This record gives sequence, C-alpha cells and structure tokens, in this order.
Amino acid sequence: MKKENIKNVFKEGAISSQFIADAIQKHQSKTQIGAHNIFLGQVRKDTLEDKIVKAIEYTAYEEMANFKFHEIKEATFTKFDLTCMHIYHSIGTVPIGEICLFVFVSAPHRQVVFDALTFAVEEIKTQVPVFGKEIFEDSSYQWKINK
Amino acid sequence: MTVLLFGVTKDIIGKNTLMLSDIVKDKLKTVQDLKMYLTQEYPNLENLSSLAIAVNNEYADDSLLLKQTDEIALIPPVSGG
Repeated sequence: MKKENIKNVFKEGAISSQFIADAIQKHQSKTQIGAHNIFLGQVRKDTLEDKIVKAIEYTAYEEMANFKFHEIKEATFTKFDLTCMHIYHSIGTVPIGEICLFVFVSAPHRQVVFDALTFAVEEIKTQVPVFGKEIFEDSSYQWKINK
Repeated sequence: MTVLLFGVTKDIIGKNTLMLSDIVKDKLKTVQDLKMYLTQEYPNLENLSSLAIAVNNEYADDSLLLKQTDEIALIPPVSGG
C-alpha cells in the first residue's frame, strides 16, 4: 500500500462540536448528497465496583491503525455507493462526556448511509489497533475491552 | 528482534518494546513460535481474550514465517471508539 495516500485519522484529545459542525458545513457544496449519517463515540462514565471512570486515555499502534482506517474506508466505498466518508479518532486523554470517535458518511439517498455507517463502525471497533485505558477518579486504571 | 508492545501487553511484559536476543530469535521461525515463546515467558498473556501478532502492519496468521526485517507487534484486544 502506498503510504502517501494514508491520512492521519488521529486528533489529540476530544473531538469538539465545532469541528463536527465545520465538517458538516464543508459538504454544502457537494450538492449530489441527499443524506448524511454520523456516528459519535462518547466517553462513558462507567463504574467498576465503587470506582468511577473520569476519562479514557487512548494510545494506538498509529501506523497500523491509520492503514486499517484506510482499508475500512476502501472497503466501505466498495460495498456501498457513498459520495464521501470521513473518520476521526482521538489520541491521548478524553474526559467523560466528550467525543472520541467521529465517523461521517454521505450519499445521495438515506438507506445507503444507514448501512454503510453500521458496517464502518463495527469494523473500526473490531479491527483497528487503538487501546483505551479507563482512568478512574482515584487515578487507578483498567484497560477497556470493546463489547 | 524487536517486538512492539501495545495496551495491556506493556503492563504484562513491563516494557514498551521487547528485545529478543539472537539466540531466542533463531528458534522462532513462525508467528506461532513467537506466540508460544511469549506466553511461556509471560503467562499472564494467556488471560487476555485475544492476542494477535501484527507483521508489517497486518494481522498475521500463525503459519507466517518471520523475517529479519519484519516489524512485529503484539496486539491485545482493541478498544477504539
């Protein structure tokens, strides 16, 4: 695979609502689009026994992860008739309530974007070497496992 | 041979990367050999719900032959998003 085509999906820290709004606005000129669908992953305030999660610290095998994100994009475009697709994932610390994953698919009609988004998010959750460490309020931690 | 470590495998092995000596490396022909060696040396790796080896940025089958120039990484269960 040619490295120069591989985009860096990672953004340091939480993904802001302004960033997401700007991403939507950038599509106003793509007038063949009739439907967008967006997945936003948010850091959940989980509890383990009496410990409360305050943040997730994300690390990744960044080079391989960017390859995998690229492969997932290619596979999603192959399976579904999308106009465009964007993925952003946090790296570093994201507090509870903040956004850590932003997947954005667009197409002329709605059914395609529903199906494409489900496929892409499931692939991301199972294939991409990103590792979330749940940090508790007492600063202890546990490694998260995707269900 | 250097094995890149990620996530919980850094805690289990206690390092960021694992250097294998030439003596060890010469015995490890395949991905499966490497997995068996690592789980013998670090038994807590067996408690993970999955443990993959990536070779040159791709998940590798157990039968894959390891080469001197390969970039090798230990991938515990992923938890992105």
